[in-house]
Amino acid sequence: MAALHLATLLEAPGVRVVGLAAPEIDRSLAKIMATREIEEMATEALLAPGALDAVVIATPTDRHSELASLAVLAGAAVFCEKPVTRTLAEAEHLAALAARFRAKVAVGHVLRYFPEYEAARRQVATGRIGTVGICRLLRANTSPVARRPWYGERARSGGVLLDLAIHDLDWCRWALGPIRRVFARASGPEEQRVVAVLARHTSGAISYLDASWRAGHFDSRLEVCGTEGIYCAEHSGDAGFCLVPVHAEAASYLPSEADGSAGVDDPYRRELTEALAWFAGGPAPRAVLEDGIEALRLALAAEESIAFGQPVELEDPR
Amino acid sequence: MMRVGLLGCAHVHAAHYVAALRAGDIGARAVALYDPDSEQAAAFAAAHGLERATDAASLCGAVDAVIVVSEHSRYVEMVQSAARAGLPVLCEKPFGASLGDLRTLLATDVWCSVAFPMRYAPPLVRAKAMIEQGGLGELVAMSGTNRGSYPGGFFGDRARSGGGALIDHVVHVADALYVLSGLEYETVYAEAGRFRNVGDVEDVAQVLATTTSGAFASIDSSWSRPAAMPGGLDFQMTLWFERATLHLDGMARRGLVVAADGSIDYEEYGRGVNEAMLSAWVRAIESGAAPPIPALDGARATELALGALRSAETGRVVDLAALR
Repeated sequence: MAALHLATLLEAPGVRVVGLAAPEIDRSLAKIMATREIEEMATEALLAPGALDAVVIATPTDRHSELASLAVLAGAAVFCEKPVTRTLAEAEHLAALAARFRAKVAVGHVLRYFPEYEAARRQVATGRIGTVGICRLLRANTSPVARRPWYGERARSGGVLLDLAIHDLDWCRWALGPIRRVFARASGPEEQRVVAVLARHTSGAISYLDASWRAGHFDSRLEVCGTEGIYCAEHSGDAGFCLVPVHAEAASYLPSEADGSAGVDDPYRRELTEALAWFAGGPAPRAVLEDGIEALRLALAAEESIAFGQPVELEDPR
Repeated sequence: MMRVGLLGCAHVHAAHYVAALRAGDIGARAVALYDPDSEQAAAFAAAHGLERATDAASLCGAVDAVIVVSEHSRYVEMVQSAARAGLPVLCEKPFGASLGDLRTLLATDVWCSVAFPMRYAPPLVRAKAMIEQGGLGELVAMSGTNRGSYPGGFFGDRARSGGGALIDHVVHVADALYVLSGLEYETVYAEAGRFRNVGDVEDVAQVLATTTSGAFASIDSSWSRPAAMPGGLDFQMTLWFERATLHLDGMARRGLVVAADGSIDYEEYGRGVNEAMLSAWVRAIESGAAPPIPALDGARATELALGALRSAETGRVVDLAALR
């Protein structure tokens, strides 16, 4: 995500990129840094008090809490990739710190900016499909573990629930309201885990999600059923586009491209642009710290349900 | 030509079976009907050209085999009538509207096959043959849907149906997974709700079960589709195995028809699953073979549905062994 966010920052009017801190810099990032003369800096120097106005955090999940806290202490606004932190204790600590320093913290729940999910929420909000009874979602991807081994350590990444399922749980909350109960099951090895999450909204609506790190390629779907109609959509990023190589091992010679949806609808650019506008005094973006924390609570409740084999009631669902 | 009688006609599939017997070269015809609701019986008999019997015993005396397609709550009395007459039975699902009915049906001494037509859907037949070769490895998890619209009639009346969307549609996917994998169910959890307020039953429901092997199996059995939705009834399964993922669509064999006014509809092609099921049932009766879909299989899938209903009511995970 770092290269994508950096590209947005470089195009954003009124934004100067001071520097970038990372333990490892991959090829795509190195190329942008070289051509745009971006300085590589130590974390301590970058997050020194008063050094900058805002920070984008796109590290492995287990570092979000420490870096976001440092940024808040340094007086910077924060855009943090989802999940907001790895644990609820970290999230609550960050919330207390942000409240004390009146810091703005936006969270990268990008699904709120994907056009098919915006449209789905609109069908609900305008009453076009009536009262929602049940909603079914799917999010499947290839396992990220081989390329980025930290994803395979649940203590660091939170696994498939905090990588994939948290997107849909956040969207369900955003579109269908608070969730009061979660039940979940999981199967398969950690690096190719399949999870099923069943959520009950305070409205009475039911949401069901299949999420897995076991797919051959990325796939997402949703169907929302209401008393007056249903809305169904599949992944907008691949809508109308399908490239099939002649040879199975062809990946090496095919032209590479970023996520297709980034090119057309730019949900990643829009979420960060809205956060930057908020930092500059504009209205809040769609997902702020409280939303990030609620989504984390839901994903962790699902993990707890899996561990104990029982439904988990959410206290004070928001 | 085998003479087939209908015991009851309230079930939506009654008309489908009569039509399938008439259209196919199955070697059987629906000829007579008994339904204790005389108004219902008169209308159905007239619409389908069937004789009307005055009671179950006289119907059984006039035919070679019976299909039980009454309200769910009457299955026990209907199957027992056939048992007394020594007739072979095809019993519509679910196999009992309650755990008590299920036990009684299982204990009844009768040649009885259960109506799970999706077993004959070509993608499922092909998947079963592939899975049996063993190359896919163990089942990791399954996610299935069997969504449709509210069928109306007695389905919304719990006293006669035993339940709503959970009782109507869970059994098909539950049976299909058993047939494909051979796995038994261990626990079940379900969330259910009433969003259209049809009758006094649940119309949306999501089931999340486990198998004794540790896999999970989820089934969306909701009546969530609008009544007039073309192709609204679906049957889909995603099966994650250790070495491959299988996506099955039991309703995929259909073409799209667009009318002059732009309205769309789907037309099934090829041999229908009801025809295939009825054909196998008739062949088994003629050859003296065992029921193609034994009562125990009907009971297994129905137990999962009834367990899901209990879970939805209590909010707890139901241990299926404790129901037996």
